[in-house]
Amino acid sequence: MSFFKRRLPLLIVLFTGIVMMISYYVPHKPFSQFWDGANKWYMLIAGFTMVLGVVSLVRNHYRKIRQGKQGFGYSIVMFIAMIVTAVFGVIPHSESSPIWGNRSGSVFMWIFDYINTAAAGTVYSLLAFYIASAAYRAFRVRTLDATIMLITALIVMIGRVPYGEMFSDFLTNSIGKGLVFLRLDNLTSFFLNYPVVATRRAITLGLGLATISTSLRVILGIEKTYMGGD
Amino acid sequence: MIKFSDRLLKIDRRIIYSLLAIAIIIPIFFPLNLPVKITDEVRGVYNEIDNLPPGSKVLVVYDYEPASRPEVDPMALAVMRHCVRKDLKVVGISYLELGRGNGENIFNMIQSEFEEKGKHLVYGEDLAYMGFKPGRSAMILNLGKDFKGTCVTDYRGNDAYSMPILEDIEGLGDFEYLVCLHDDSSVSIWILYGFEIVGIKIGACCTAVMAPGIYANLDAGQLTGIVGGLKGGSEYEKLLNYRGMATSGMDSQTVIHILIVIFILIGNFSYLAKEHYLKKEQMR
Amino acid sequence: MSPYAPWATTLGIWVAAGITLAVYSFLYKDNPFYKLAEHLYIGVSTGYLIVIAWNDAILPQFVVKLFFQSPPAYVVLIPGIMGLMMYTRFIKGVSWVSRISLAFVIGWGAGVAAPVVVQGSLIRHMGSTLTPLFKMDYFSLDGWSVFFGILALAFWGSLLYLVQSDKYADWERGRRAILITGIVLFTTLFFVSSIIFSQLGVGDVFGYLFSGDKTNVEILEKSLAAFMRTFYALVILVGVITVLFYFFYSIEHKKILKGVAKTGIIFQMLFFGAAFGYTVMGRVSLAIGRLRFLVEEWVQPSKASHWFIGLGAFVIIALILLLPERLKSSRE
Repeated sequence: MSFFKRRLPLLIVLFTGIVMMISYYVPHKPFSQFWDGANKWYMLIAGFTMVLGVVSLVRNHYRKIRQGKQGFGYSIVMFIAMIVTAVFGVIPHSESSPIWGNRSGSVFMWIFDYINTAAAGTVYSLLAFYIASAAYRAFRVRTLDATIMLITALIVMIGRVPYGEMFSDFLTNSIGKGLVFLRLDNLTSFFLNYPVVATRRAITLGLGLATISTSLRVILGIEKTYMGGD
Repeated sequence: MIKFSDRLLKIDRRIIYSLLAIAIIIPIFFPLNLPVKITDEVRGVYNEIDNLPPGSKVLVVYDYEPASRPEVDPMALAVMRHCVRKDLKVVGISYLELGRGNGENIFNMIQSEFEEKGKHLVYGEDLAYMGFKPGRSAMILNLGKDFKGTCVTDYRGNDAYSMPILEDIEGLGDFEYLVCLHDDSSVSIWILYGFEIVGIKIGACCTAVMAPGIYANLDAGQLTGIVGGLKGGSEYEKLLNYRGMATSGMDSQTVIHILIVIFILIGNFSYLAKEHYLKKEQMR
Repeated sequence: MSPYAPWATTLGIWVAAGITLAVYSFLYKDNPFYKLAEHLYIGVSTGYLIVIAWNDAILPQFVVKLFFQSPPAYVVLIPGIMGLMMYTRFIKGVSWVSRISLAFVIGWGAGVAAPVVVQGSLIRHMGSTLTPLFKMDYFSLDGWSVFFGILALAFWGSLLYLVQSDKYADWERGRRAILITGIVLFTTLFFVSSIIFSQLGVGDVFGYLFSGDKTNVEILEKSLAAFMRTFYALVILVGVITVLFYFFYSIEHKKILKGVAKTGIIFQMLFFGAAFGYTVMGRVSLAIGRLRFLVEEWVQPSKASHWFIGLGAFVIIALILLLPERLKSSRE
């Protein structure tokens, strides 16, 4: 039994990983067939695992309701919302009853347009308010690094909106052409096109190296945390 | 003085929230009609689409959640309008589960909008929406080899093989251009598995949060351009000569940015003033 | 425009407005309305995921291919079963079965990612960092540029020596300033002379600058652009190396290396600053979107009767949400 529990998964990882790697560099039969087949299989498995997260969510809320914990009413609301959305979406659409299915005009899309969009958009936009308040309270010129970051942020924030561009036009047109280096929009472009690129590129290179080493560790069976306990 | 700056530092957060809300709402009633300046990054996407001959095929990828609709919808509409005006054929697809509905809405809006203007767009011939396809990077790899076989059907359940628009599409590389509308890092997957493997040119239209992270890809030549956030959307609208949601949103955006800059400056001045006076008192 | 019946659109706008206000009420403090909206959102999103998984993945890719196609594609059974095996992780005792399909997924990911990342991230990005430096079409050495180059090297060398031998810390400000000025001055002069003055005489450049002589404008502009390209390429090169070094912990960051790491931090701060600015921009755009919805689609077009019904609905929901707790607390 331990062969199936521990050895077999490791062997599958080793085999799939190495053959996929070879197939990338050797696009000929039989490797090309393996490459295409494995990609198609992966897509199907991914389709089945889409609702993997739903199972644990449902289990948590079901437990809450069964134990009658405080606020279990909200869990009931969650279940009703989930079931209603799922039922209206899964029953196929037909010309005679356009409320079913997932085409535009159906109940499913109505829920998407008015409930999903409203709730998700508002939750994310809460951050605008938090950022403003945090910027006021915590964004301080305590050290040189923080000062550099703050000045960059101010330049980018003003340089990317019309007022910043108007202010820059005023600088160069009315005061002098020599101030072209102080144009906030040009400074913003400079920051984004050079220092930001450099930093992001360093991060990309680092991540790339990390990805390769992790891949190799996984394939060779050194890294096996994905297998979980026992 | 210490008391004053102390009080300034301890303003209730709700006051800040209300100021912010007021600053957003006022420009809605009194538009400022501020001018928009166009950056090279946005031109990179615009020119690429503009220079395509009529009848070329463009793949538009809807990878944004409904939460990002205020930011990405204006760009999506602008890019689609641009393609339709240039008589390009547009195929849509979604790599993100939650992006599927957005693509459907935009396709329907564009179709009915041009219908009103007297330009009849035939679904399946001039434009088609494939809907969501699972598998992330595997999906892109499969699209690269066999577009129709991977899609199987469009979002309405029509057979992909029977669609005239996909007739001469073998793989991803048969599209002239790919526009990625995204609010997460999906563009880097499209770059790695699309651009690097089949060589399709990519333009990124993304939320402002994602934009700074992909300038490195622009510099490396993996992207032709970046349309970032509401500002990018407003620039694209200006290039197409109309004032849409993004351009009018920029009015509020400007006011808010100035307000936040003022917040930061006040916060720092009162902080520095307090430090200064505390130091003075210690000296005594 | 709207694909729904007018009453459904109005109802939708009112529901959306209610949810928006309920979520925003969290800014004041946590409350039952926010919790209701939150759970509604989770439920709807989960339902959405189920529908998409069925309609866009399992139905066309699996069910249709297996049952409604002739001949049936039996090969989809294997990945289908592997997908279902993933769910055994929730069943005690057989949870190890999910490892077999997980192993395929992980092996696939590792095997594909490594070569793709080598090509798309490592080679591509290293290449685009280095190639601009070797494409200096206007670069050529003459007497002056060699002279400035040697001077610049001497200044750089002395800085390296001084920092490495800990003498730099003892220097007073004036001498440090001279050293740094020398480095900046001669490095710039080296590039200016090798890129711009190798094309044009000093007299031509000054003629353009001060007496408006336009004969050499084209060459001058091109060489100036080449100079800026070199400068920008150097900025990126320095940034990439210093930031990478900052994350490289195998060597202790001291003496000259401390300066390198410090430069890396400055680059990162520029990145974070720009990212912060853009994040503010993005989040504010979302808030603008929501508030515009409230003003333009909800408040302005709504009629008195809508307000009346809406208020009634609000009172009912408030009673349902708030009454049970009130009763409980009054009983206690």
